[in-house]
Amino acid sequence: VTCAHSLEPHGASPCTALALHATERYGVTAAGDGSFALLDLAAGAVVARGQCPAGEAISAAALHPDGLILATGVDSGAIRLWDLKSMSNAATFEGKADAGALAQPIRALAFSENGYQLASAAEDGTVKVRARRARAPQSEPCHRASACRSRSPPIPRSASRVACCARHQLWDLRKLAQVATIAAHESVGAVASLRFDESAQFLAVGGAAGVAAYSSKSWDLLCAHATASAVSTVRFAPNARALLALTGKEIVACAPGAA
Amino acid sequence: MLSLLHSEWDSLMLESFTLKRQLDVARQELAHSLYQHDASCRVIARLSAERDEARRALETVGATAGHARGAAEDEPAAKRQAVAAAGPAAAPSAAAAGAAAPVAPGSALPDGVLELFDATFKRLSKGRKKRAPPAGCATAAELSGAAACGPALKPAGMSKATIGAADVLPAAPAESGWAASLVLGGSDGSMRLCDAASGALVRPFATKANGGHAAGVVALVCGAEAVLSADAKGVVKIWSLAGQAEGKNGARPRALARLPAPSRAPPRLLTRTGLPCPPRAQP
Repeated sequence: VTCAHSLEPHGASPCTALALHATERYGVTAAGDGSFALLDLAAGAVVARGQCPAGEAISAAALHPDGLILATGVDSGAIRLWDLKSMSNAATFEGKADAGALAQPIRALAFSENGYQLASAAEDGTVKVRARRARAPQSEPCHRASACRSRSPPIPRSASRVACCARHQLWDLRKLAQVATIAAHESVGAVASLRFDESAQFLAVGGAAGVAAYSSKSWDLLCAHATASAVSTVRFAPNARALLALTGKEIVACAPGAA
Repeated sequence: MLSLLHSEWDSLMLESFTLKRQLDVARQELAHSLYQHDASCRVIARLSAERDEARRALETVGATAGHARGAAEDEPAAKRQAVAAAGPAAAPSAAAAGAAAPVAPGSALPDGVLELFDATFKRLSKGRKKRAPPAGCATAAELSGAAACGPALKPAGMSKATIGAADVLPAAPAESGWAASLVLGGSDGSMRLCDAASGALVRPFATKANGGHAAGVVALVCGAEAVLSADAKGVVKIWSLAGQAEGKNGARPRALARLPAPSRAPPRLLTRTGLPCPPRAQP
């Protein structure tokens, strides 16, 4: 394993989020100063840049599995969807939409692998799931919902749902509406990490107190486990055969069945 | 008496005449000031139109500058300096554009990249909806059933450092049971590949002293061929997994053989295309 390139795409501002494009030839870096950059991995160079409005610090980022949409979560609790081809803001999910609660920084973002959902986790412990419904007409609602500029292309039809963490919220990307808000199970605590499995059947959530897995259709809690210390990252093993939680020093694996 | 009344009449007429004259003067003054007001309104309108035009020009100049910057960075030589120079330079210009418009669009992508992205999108989005979960994939019942938490494993070799960031290496699923390889980025700037089931060190990438990050790793993402890692000081490193397979050094391929799969596994792309959508029917 060799380090092919080393660069500072955002100057002195540290990167807060990374994402890999479906081609694996490009990657996205996002920084606390609100800027994000598309990197050419082979050349180790910045191909294009984008910028959130002034004062927004990106705290989470995710690329759609089809590779045309970038989702960024900012400290004000808003989620912006970017059209990667034009690097323009295609839609924005406002952070304050839910019940007048104070906007919380987005801690994690995950697109489902089937491309229909986006899960987001905010600092207050909710996960929201947003989705694009298959039935939505081709007249793209994102034009209404967002500060689309004239040339900003519509979000591709198969784009996805977004989820947020701490409360997790799920968003429908076609309706550009929120699908579900999941109050994190008490054994999870403030959510720090989210991940759909590769078959898009499950959503894993890791937080200050433990990990949990939800069904990505009914949003029922499938399993929950408390951990000794706060979970920073949660991932699925291949084929969702195990749930991997990483705490500061340790790896905890929750394997379903007798495996 | 008559003459008295006559003089009185005369003086009244005189007074009304002066009043009428004053009225005329006041009217003229009013008309003049109204005209002045109208003229100043016109000047204001013209000036604001000019300002809008100038703002638009600034935006286009900013966009072309971004384009030029992107092109400059394509040059492999002097790439670092260009990036370092562009980093701080990009922020103010973007901020300036942001002041004019709520959300300024970034620089557009080169045509080659656009074509690649479009082709990838077409290929991957096709049939995404109709995919079924793969045969070996865990079911909801399995996941909710007897899920048991294993013991907390300390990854080998991470003495005092904590795990700053981690990601699972995409690999061919194990036929029975489960296996996963984790790339771990340490708070000491080291990078390593660990077996998730045992915590054993499969392969160290780098340590702080040996090509690793100078600061703690804060973000990490894995593909089948590349790993991206970012540290707290803003340095992003791109690690190549693919190059390993053809390593000329005799020792390397053997070490690689112990890797669970990065080079032999199907690229993530293929895994993804074979991936299913959510279950077809669920209550």
